[in-house]
Amino acid sequence: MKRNIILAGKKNRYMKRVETMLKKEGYNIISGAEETDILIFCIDPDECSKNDYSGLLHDYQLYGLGLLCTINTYLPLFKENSLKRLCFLTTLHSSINHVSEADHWERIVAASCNMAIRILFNRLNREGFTFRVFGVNDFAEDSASYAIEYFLQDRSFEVESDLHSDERRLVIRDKYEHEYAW
Amino acid sequence: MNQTIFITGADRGLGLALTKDFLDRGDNVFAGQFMEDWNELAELKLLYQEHLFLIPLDVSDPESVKAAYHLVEEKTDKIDMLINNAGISGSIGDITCLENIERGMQIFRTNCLGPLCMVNTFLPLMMKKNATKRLCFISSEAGSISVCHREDGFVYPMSKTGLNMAVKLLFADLREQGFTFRLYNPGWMRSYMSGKKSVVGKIEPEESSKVAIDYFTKTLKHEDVLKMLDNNNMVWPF
Repeated sequence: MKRNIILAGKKNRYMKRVETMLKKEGYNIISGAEETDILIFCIDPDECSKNDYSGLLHDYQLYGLGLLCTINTYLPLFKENSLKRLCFLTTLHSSINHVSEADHWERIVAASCNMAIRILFNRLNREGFTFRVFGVNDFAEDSASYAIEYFLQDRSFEVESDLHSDERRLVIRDKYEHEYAW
Repeated sequence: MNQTIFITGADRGLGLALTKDFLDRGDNVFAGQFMEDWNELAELKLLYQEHLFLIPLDVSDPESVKAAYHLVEEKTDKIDMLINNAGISGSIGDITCLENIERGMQIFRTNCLGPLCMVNTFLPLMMKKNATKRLCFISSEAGSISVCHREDGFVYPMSKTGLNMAVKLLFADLREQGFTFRLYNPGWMRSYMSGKKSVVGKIEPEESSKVAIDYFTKTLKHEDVLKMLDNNNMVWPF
């Protein structure tokens, strides 16, 4: 059965590639009026310098609060028998642990989004929602097929291994399946 | 040697406790005052005429931060330590029924962008040759993604995670220029964060202040590593 998928967040070239690939594989990209299985939200804040407070605030409104408003809007479309999967595309540079250079201050917003996803996970995983967070090094990279594979893949079918799989955990993975610390 | 310190959100709670403790040590304190009608700072000013300076300040407003800077530079030629303490709390509720989204913007402006704006604006006074160059930030356990167990509320934890990222970026930006950093989780205090004095919590702001002052003033063995420490000197993961 081909799933219904909603695409939200930044409509950058990466997300357009995701959309094209999903359609090619026969998935239904829907706008939100129908029952849905998967939602993919792209967190790609605009570049900001360290004193661009209005830019950072605008990014936060679009992606931090925007992410929450989007989930709030579409939650009723995830019915009991649907896949109930929330997927997020973000940058690997949203990892606080991995910051080593003072560039891309919009990472502040991307890190805040990671916290929003964590709280959503805590709230919704017990209701049957599974989560995927895929990190890119750069949205210009050609890794959309890896992201899609991770988003669509079931990681465990057994209760015994559920706890050790990404069905009951929240991690950021890159195209090589590496986990990134928050 | 006496230090010159700027503390934001000094009206009450941890900010006021830090102000009192630094004044007791003989330091000069510029106290960011957000609430003109809250009189504890004014009372303290009567006791420390020469060493306490009250500076009107709303950290969420870059124009207010600029005005504060101009007031401070009229009175001192350097700031040794900047303590970013000002913060507000709040919630936008459960994901199924979000409410008061604008509160989320306000909290982000104050808790995350406020400290960033303070550092950027006050850098000239902190870059002076004989200044200590220490940047201190009051964060929270709520900002730690790794150990987050919350299921609602969202915006306060998000603002503190954003703050932690901002501090990490500032650390990468300013460390080589001689700045040292302190990131402090003050513990679960009976504070005024929600607007009135909390009756729940584990410690009083005055207790947390004593630990903070020790952490903020001593030299660490490894200044090239940024860690978040709490009031029990425990390290918190990001």
